[in-house]
Amino acid sequence: MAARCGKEYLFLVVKVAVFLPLSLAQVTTDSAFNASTQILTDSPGTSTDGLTSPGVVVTTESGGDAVTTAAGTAAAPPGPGEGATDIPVNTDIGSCICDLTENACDVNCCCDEDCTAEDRSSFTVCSDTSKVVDEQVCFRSTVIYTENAPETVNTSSSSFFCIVIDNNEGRNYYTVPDPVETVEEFVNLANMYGSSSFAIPDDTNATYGDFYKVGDSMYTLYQSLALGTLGLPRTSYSSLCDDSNPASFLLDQQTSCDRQLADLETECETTPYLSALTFFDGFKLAPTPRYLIDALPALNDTGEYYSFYANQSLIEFAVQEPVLCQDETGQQTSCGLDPGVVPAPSYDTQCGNVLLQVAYTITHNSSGAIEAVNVQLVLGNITSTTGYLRFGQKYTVAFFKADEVDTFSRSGNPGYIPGMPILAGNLVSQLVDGETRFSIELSSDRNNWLTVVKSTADGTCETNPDSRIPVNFGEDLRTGCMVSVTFSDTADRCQIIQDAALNALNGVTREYVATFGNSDVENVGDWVPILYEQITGSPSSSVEGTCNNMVVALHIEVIYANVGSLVNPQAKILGVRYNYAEGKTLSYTCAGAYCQTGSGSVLQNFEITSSVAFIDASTLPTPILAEDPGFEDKLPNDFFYPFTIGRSSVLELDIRLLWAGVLGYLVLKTEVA
Amino acid sequence: MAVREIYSHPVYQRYKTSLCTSATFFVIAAFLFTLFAPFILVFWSEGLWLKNAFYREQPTVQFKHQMLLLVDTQDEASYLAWSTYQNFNQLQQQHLRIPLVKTRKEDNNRDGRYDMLHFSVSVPVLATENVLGVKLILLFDYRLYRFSSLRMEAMAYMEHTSPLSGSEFIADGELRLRLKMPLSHKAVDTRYDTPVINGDSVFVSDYQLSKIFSDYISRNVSTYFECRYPVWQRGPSSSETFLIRGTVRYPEELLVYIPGFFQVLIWAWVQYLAVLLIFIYLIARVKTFIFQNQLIRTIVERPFVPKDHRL
Repeated sequence: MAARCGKEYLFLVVKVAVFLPLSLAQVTTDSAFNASTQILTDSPGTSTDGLTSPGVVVTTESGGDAVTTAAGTAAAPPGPGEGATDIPVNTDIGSCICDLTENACDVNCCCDEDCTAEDRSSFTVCSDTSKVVDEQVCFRSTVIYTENAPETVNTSSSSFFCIVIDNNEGRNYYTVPDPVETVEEFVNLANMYGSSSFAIPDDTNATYGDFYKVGDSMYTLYQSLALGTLGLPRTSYSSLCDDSNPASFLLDQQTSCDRQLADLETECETTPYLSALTFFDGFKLAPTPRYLIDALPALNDTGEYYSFYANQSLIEFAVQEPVLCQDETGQQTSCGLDPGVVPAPSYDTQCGNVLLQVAYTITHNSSGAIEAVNVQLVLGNITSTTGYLRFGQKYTVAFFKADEVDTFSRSGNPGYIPGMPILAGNLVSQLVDGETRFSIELSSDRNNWLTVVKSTADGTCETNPDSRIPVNFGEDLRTGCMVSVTFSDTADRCQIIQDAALNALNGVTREYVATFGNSDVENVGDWVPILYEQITGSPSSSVEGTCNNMVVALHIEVIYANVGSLVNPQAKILGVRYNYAEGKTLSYTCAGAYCQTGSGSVLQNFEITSSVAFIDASTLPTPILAEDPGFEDKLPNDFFYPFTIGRSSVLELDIRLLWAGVLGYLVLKTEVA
Repeated sequence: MAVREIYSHPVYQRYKTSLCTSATFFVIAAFLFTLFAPFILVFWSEGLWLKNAFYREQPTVQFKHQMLLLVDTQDEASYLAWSTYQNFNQLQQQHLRIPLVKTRKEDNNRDGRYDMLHFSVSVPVLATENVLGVKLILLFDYRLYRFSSLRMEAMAYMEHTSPLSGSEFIADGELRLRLKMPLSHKAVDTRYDTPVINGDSVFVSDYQLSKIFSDYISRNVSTYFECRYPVWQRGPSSSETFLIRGTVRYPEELLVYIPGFFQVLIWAWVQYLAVLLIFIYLIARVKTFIFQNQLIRTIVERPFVPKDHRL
């Protein structure tokens, strides 16, 4: 035991020796600490009660007496901080933090004065000793109970840089803070130390500008004189419509989302979103945001107030005639309704006149005020199926300026923008003033310019030429559909299968493609003809169950190049090729049950493929650099005469540099020496 | 008048001895010590020989336009499948559903290397089919140039299943490289420029995901698609398509490689030299001390003695 103590003592001495320079350093930290307390006492608010530093505490005590005598006469409640428990400076005030029950012994709390020696003897551990131990202090005292007998043991900290003697006690204790008395002080402290919190941020009130700006919601007024915004339902976290989404001013948007019904019979006539009336009837649009705020009369002005809705300045939704009706195949035709009549949904074995599409066309003037709103409606019937019934709705908002007519959406200006449809059309000639003029006939539907085959939901080829997939610039694409054939079909009807396949692949024939996204249809020179690879051979059948020489794939290649400035490249289409795949043998696979007798009508599917590839053929500029100006000689030619025998300028320069280096070295050397 | 030093030069002090003496032995021992002690010291302090080093490089990635798609519907017996491999499609006759695939590569900073690929796969589904899960494999051509010229076929696999039927799956992530071993310093590495999916095979076993994945993960160099934020748009779609869309980004990778011979040597030399100089200095001082005080006896040759001091 003694030997161990001796060893520890030795260790301590070593540590003190190690620590000497550190304790010297403490002197500087002391002064720094004092300086910081000085700053604290200087702050406003501390001068009155001054609980910060020991020197000031003394003055508080005398001042406090004076206040008490004053309070004795006026009998006013004590001021803040007055008579508060005094916090001694540089003292650990939590001497027994486990004593939580007054007048009773707390279990395992050895410092609890209510505990008797008998109580302590039943304790297993002293929870008061599990105080936070300062890692920097070399020794910590741990009181343990062994065999229920109290014994104090010193455990040395193993840390090498522990503090043996701390000359500056103050830095181990918190400074004594002042209570907050005024709101200003509170705000100051909160700003200085506080950070983000769960407090609800201050709400910015809706501002009503003099005119609408891009992206603003458009205000509506309901018949009940409730204010609202024009909605544009769209999907949020599911494919179902979220009705609270507002439409944005001047941003053309198209959304499609789903509606789900549980019981068609009861919900058909009551559910608001099934009725077309919900989306244009019973509310009007405010021409400018401020209008409603400025013009809406006060509530007590009853007569005028309730007739406000009839105000001419509010914009009514005009239904565009005719209202369209969509049948099961998706064809849209006029419903044949009387003008101005839009029916509500009605149930009769199926739910009729259900809203399927709404298209708002909003006309505005150049100063951000709305002038007119047109609404195009598409209605349809939905039939009840078992379980949940789902159907989709489409919402569109488009904006037009009052004086702008005959607008055309470019696919780029001039270079194509990725994702925009490629302009494609056919050459037409027209006889104008005795001379033939050529121009390009372009479909008005931009999704019907250059197209590829589309697959229906069950995988078969879509036959409607208007319902195909547009080819967008820069988007490599692959699609396909399936032709189903039976075993007997394959031998006898190869030509029919081939025709069906080619029909699906080609769709509507296009002859010319625009080189730029803004090519003029009148200027045929800006359009390049599509190169068609001729199909060689025709289908034939040699063996039962096979069709040889079948063309089932079309690969469209678009070569483009960036032109113009390097920092602002503009894509220009150089050429388009329709490349039909080589004739392929379609064979009805006879494996397993397929070709057994009696299963001749089992269908097998063959894939018809369309793909599009974009090839970037941009050539980067070849840099043309000016000739090297060479090294300009400032010294006379014979300055280094003996060393410049070779007249090669490079050699000359090298030798000069070498000699300059040698001379410099010599000069330096002599100076150092 | 003050005296100033105007010039000085050192004086050589020579100590001589014959070959087999303790002085000779000492000098040789000191020389060897000066030479080897720094080496041992540097070696012990670790890091003398540079075993691997790092560099950053953005890979050159090209989408190979090859993919394999599996879509799970609520019908336990059935699923939808499609790939760009004809043999696979032939095998999956009954489940085949041809999607519309669109891809667009983008080079943001126009440095000639593509930075991302946008893809969208819209699978036609019937109104009665509720999509509950999707598995998609995209294949890329992956190349590195700076040290070893690596070229391989890389795979991005994305998967999502949900108890709720969905209409859309959106995955925006990064194609990250996984190195099991450091790359070599200089070589053309085409070990893994082999197809991830053997599209020539007519056997179902070659298209099983478990086989594809275990083959792929046993590669020393492979990639994975890191998508921390997948989005499953719930609710079956009434538009009769299930859409999978997203972006595969090709970030700059931190690559580990085995440095070349000269790099190792230069790095070691720098460390060795730093310690060697200290040893040369210290040993020189020790030698001067020993010979000046003649702790080891040698013949001390008197240097030239100035004339004034001559007797």
